[in-house]
Amino acid sequence: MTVIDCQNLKKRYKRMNALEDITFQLEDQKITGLIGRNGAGKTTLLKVLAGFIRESSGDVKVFSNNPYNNLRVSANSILVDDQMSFPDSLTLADILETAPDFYKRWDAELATNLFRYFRLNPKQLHARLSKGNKATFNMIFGLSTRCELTMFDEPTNGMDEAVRSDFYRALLKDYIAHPRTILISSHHLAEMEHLLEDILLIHKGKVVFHQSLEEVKEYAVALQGPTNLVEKMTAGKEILHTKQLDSQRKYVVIRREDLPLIEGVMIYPVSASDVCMYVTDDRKGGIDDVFK
Amino acid sequence: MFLSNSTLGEVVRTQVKFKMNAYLGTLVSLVFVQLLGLVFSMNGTSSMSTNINNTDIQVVVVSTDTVFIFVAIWALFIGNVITTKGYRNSNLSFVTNSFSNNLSNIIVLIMMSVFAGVTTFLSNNILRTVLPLFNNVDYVKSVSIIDDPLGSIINMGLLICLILMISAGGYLWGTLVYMHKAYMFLLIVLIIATPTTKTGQMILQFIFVDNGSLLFLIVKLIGVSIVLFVLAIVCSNRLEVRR
Amino acid sequence: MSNFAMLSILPFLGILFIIWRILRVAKSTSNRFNWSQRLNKWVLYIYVGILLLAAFVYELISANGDEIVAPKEYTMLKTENKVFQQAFENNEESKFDPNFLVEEWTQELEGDTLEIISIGSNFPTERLNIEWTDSKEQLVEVKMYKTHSYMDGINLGEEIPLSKIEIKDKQIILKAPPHKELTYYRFSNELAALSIVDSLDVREQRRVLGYTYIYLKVPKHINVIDKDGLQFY
Repeated sequence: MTVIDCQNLKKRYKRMNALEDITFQLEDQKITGLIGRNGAGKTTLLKVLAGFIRESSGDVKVFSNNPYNNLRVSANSILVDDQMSFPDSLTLADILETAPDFYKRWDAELATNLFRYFRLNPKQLHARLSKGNKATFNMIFGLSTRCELTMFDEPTNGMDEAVRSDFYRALLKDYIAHPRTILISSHHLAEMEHLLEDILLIHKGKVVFHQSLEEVKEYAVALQGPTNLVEKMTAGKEILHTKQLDSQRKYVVIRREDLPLIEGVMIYPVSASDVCMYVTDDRKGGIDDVFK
Repeated sequence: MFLSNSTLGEVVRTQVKFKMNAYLGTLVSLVFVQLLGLVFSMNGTSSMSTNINNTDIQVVVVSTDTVFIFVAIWALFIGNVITTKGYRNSNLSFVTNSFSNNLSNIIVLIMMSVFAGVTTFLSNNILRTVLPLFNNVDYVKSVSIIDDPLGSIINMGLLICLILMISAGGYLWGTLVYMHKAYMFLLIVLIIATPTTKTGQMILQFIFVDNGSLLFLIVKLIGVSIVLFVLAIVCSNRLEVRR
Repeated sequence: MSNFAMLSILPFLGILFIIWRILRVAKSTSNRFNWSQRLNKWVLYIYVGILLLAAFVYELISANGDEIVAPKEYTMLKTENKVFQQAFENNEESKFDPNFLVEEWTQELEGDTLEIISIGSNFPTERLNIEWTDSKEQLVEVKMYKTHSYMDGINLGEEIPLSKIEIKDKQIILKAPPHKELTYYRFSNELAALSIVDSLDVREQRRVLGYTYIYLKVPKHINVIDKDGLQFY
């Protein structure tokens, strides 16, 4: 069943277009990574999906409803981000006590256990948590709601290494026990690659591709070898990325296709993370070129 | 896929419960505002004088007026503050939409107004019992709640409705300012203009003057509150949150 | 009027601003000190408890004070005053309410003139009326009445001193009581502001002003000199 259905979704702010043309569909019970560079429109897209902001044009459907100001969508979806706030007057324990009234499928046991595991102080106020602890608490809150559509916007921002890997593990375990639609945005794909089934890559407010992780891994191939050979092989092809390794050798990434094997040119697979980076790269040359 | 269906009523009820709990601090601030008002009303809030047989007679009345003015400003502030960004965003972490948010805010304001009205009414009794102990004047026995139960209820209702109307004004104000900062100045102009211009005076007169009975005034105040709240709902329905 | 209203709004705006600041500061301090919800609840419980206790205690202690009159009884008092006033103006002595009578006596005059003099006050505080009788004697009957005086529910009748009447051979001297100030303190559960905004009648309803009436019965042949213009009717 389709959980999210976006058709030509556009969101304009006063001076810029945050979302140009977003069209994709999300099936239920999948973990999808929403990948994009800074300013690609990830957060805007999630806010539109959560119903916090209204689309400028196009069509958005979440559970077959327009999410903006929709109670059904609000009851069945949650967006966890670093702007999440709770009343100053409530302690973390109070918040966890209040939540089941709102979210019918709230998993109190999971919440308590995670809360204890991460050693959060129940008497602490949300506004006074450190950045990392805030992110941890938000994550606990988001997971425990068991919402059919659970969205995380850069959930690991501020978390330390150990908490990050714990978070991914917790997310995966809970997902396996209670499958639901999970959408995680991030700009580092590498560390959460093992979780994801699908990848939705957006760039400058447009969908670049929406494919399964396997397909993304197969998306491109890297050639490395003597400059002249490599250039010959890639002539006329769509070059995603190129890098001069030294005076003789060159590294070029192209779309995957059957290539003849040539002596001296090595063919490497390209990781999903690199694919996403290269595809969305519109700068000429690399950072090295700046310092030439 | 299992979707939980929440009706508007359920959500509003849950939100009211949540907000009453979360905004309990504002009621505590009300207590302090009232105590401050009581301190200022110790010397009497209004007086009447007349002259009979070459004797100047002055009756100093210690009424709820001063406390009420303080509470009114509190109500304006509270109506305003629950529309501000922090309060708005903290609701978003829970199930909500604009309408249920408005509805629960209004119910919370009504409940707070009832509390504020009843406590403002009763606060006079603190002065009644405490002032004679410290002041060296004789206080005349005054009409108490038991002497005039019906009048007491009407006066309490009047206080509640006045406070509700002011908080409704604050709520609309807050909603407009949230939409655009420029409304801030418009509203300050409006506040100054209402008592100073002819039309403003006519409106005030229409509401407050020439009411056959206080009950009629109460009905008018409730009517004005409803208008203000409906305007706030209409204005905020298109309002985006957490930008 | 407009200027006046403008001026009167300024202090209100000042108060508004000050309280606004106080609430802001209170909010930021309450954020710094972590008031727990439990403490909040206790503050509210205790406050409401104190309010109810105060209301209850007042019911007990208020028994000692002077009785005050509820506004609805004013109508009755006012009518009584009015009836008296009318009867007084029309010389209908039989209709005078005997409850208002303070003093009465008869005085024998010498000669044919009676002078009425008021002293002690710039403005006469009494109302005076004369009924002419057919009597041939030199006797003047004097009656002094006092009608109800209430203000804001307080019975002022007993506290207000009366004019003194001195009668010499040919003169009646009405001596106004010395200047005096009385201050009463009372409590009210009502909003005084609204009763002011409301029509003046409401405010007027809160007071019942009584007067001192002096009723003289004078034989027709006596010449009354009233140089202070005490006699209205």
